[in-house]
Amino acid sequence: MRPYIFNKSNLSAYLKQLDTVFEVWIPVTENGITTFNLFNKQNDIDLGKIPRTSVKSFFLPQHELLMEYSASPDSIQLDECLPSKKRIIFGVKPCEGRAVKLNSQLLVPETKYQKQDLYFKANQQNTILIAYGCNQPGVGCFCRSTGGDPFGKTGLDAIVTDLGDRLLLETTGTEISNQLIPKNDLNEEATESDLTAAEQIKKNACKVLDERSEIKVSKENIHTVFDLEIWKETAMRCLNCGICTYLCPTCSCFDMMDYFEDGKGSQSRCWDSCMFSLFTQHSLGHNPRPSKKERVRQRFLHKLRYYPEHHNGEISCVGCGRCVLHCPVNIDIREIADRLSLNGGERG
Amino acid sequence: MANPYQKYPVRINSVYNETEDKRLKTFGLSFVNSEDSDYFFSQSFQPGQYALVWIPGYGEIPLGIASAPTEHNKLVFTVNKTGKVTSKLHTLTEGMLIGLRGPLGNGYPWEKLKGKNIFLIGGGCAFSTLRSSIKYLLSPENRQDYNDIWIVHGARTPGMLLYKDNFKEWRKRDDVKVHITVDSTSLATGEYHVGNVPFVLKQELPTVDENSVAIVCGPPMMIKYSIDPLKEKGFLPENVLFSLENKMKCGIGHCGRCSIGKTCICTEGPVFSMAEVNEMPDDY
Amino acid sequence: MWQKSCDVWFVTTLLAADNMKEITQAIREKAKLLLEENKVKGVLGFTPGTLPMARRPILATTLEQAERLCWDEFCLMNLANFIPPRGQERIAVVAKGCDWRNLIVHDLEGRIDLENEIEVLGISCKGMLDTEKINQSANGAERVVGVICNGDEVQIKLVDGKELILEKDRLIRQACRECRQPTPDSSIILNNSINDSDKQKSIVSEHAFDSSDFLKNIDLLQSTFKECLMCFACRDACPLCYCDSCFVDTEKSHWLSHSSTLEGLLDFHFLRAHHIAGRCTSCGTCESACPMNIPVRELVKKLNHDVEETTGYIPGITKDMKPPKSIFKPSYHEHKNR
Repeated sequence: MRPYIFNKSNLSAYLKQLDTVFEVWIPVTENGITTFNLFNKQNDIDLGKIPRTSVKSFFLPQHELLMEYSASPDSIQLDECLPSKKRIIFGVKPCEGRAVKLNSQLLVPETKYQKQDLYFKANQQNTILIAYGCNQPGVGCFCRSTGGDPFGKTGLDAIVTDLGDRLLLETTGTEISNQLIPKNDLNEEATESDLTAAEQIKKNACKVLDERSEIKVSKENIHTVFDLEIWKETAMRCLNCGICTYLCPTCSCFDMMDYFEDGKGSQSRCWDSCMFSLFTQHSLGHNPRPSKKERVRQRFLHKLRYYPEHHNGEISCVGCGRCVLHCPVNIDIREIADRLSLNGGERG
Repeated sequence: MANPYQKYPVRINSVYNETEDKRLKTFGLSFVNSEDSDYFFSQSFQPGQYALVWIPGYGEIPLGIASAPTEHNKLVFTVNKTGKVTSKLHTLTEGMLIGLRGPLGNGYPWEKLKGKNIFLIGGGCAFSTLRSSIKYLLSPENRQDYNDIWIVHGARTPGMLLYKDNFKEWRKRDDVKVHITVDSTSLATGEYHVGNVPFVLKQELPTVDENSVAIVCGPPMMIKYSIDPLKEKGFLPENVLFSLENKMKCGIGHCGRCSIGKTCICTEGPVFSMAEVNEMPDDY
Repeated sequence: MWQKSCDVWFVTTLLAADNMKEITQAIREKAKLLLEENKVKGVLGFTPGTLPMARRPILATTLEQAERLCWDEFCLMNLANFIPPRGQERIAVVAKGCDWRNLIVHDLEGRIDLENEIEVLGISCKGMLDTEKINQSANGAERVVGVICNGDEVQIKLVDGKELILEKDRLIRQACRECRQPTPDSSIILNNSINDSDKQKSIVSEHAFDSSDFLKNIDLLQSTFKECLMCFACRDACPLCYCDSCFVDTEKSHWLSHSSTLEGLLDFHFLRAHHIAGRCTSCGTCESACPMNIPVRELVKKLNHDVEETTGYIPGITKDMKPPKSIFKPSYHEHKNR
């Protein structure tokens, strides 16, 4: 199927078409922070920027209801609160589609012996992602180093390429992507020259990113990796705040809690972070990761070593650069990955 | 596919104060719905597994299952009062309803252990999965599959010993050797040793070959100091089994907190051999 | 190789740091001297990072590391936050006015021994820049390739090769504009002191929280805090949030759930504000650390103002008085009427 093309000025007309069938979310800048907001006439779409919070919030919301229940001495009635709202997120970064796939490998595994997270699964089935390709990768971006692509289609339903005055819309062939085809006078197929122009844009973007080297998974003995000097250095300045984990599109650790009042209650979950001491603190006081050093090490080794060992060598980082850009003390995963993949180049 | 966060309602049938400091209570539970019970036991429940016990409004905690699959339709848990949920659980009485998810994790490798001598060594609340194991091993349908069985149980004082009625029963049998020890006591009756568990291991255990397996459950200090005596007696690293504990929330390998290195305790464990533990990075 | 590309960034950022060459040079020389003479175990300062505006806190313990210390308008973190509690080997710390004020509070509260264990390398500070403002002008943090400060101008190089020139004065952090003591009272000051005699009075900019019934204004609270992620970066960057066991991190007496409902968010921000009221030096590190651009400091500012009016205590500036909250008596409220 050929991609579609329409004028940039017709973007909101296209979004309106989608809005008649689905709930549409778009990136909007407010107080200088870009986040995804519901599409309406008032807000202006702000494409191209890396939204501050990732699309993770739509798949694993910061706060998510799991169960609602009524409980009394005689009975317990539980209702699962599976999400069912169909929605489109327009203008995500292509790397975020990959992040959804990586999280899905962990939370919705296909093997028979592992349990599936039905909430994430439902969100995945109900959420349609239309990406806006990255013509100009930012200073923190390194998707090509992690196995991604500034115009990659993994995890996406469609992708838009910005040709300057016009937008090229390419569906990815997922079941629902047929419904994303522009209708009426917006339905115009791209010409050969449009496709050539798009190809050139993609090539230019990749060229920038390819100067940034590939991240390799370290094969070094884990006990050696554990004693590297880099953990001590990094922990010295690490604040142990949750910025990196909360902005990260692939960090998926969560906490679970109960709330109960007057016979009715709910069980929900919310994001948690391996940076917090409470994350692993036993109720008897022992903490397997007692200091910043162990917690920092856990975060990076989980992404760059443990996850790949379980998932065919794929690292759990898509190179969106959020943690790099927003860490108050400049802890840079690229630098750490580099020192790890130097395979024994740095030892304590 | 079933929602892994779904819980079965279970009713508290009995509450028993195990120890003199009243911090360990044993709860007997039964399923409210027979189909839940059938499902639970059809999941090839094995001694060594755990379940998540849920109190509405308070949350869930992982607890080693203290009853054996051979005690059909009966569930027993021994609970140490430590945190928010366990403190609440300690206030609950007979007849009350709570929730349960499980069985979770892997039990001890019973198929592989067939024909071996089995040494069950434990102290404190962690003895619960050993109670399950002993009940399982000593049941008529399983006893002939296993060779010698030894039990070593330790506590700080006589009043802190667990499962006193069960031990009375087990001591009467001639197909199992029972050693009970207390760290200190004011009246030595000869009923038990005086000294800690590692000391008793050194003194009482025979020298063994590769056909003997030790299952060690207890407080970290007990485990730490039991390793050397066990090695001296000839236990191979792959024949010493531990049940590891870490903070858990989801129980299905998703929430991320219980892992040690690449190993997820809640799904790949909690049972690991000493050989496997030695391979793990020092993050526990 | 990443190392290579990282080095490229390091070089860019070093260039950016160039405009305060003299201070940078003075820090390096002093640091090397102190290390060579074995007077300190290390020198706590800043070093360039992997992004144009990123400066990392570092405890330089070798001459090589001391050679990488730097100083410019992006040394945003408060170094008092990185000082280990008392009883350690002597270290030196590069301190601007706000770092100094926090050292004073730490010393008064007994956390550190300022006289015997810390060598302060003071810097008279003209104010740090608000990187968030620069990012917004550049249309995204990811688009800033280089930043060079030339006198009153800030030149920003963008990823598409374009350049922006901004007026430096407009980019200064709000907290720095309101700074009451930009120059430490330490015996060593590494640069020419700027005149700050007229800074001693309280300059409090207007904010909606100043109104006494702002608590009833749910819309205001909602719009201010709704983007908060509960990442606790404000707490973790704050030099005065040094409790071993923070109320956020106690599970048994669950003060706070980590859920991000508005109630949860307000619980956190109000509890924290009360914990540092009358102690906060208004250094603004919390706001610099916040990934969501929330004016965290404003809430505390109001409480601080009340404490100052009641007791006359100015955190970090008053030295001859114990912090009011550690010696609070009910009779304090009479002070105001005297």
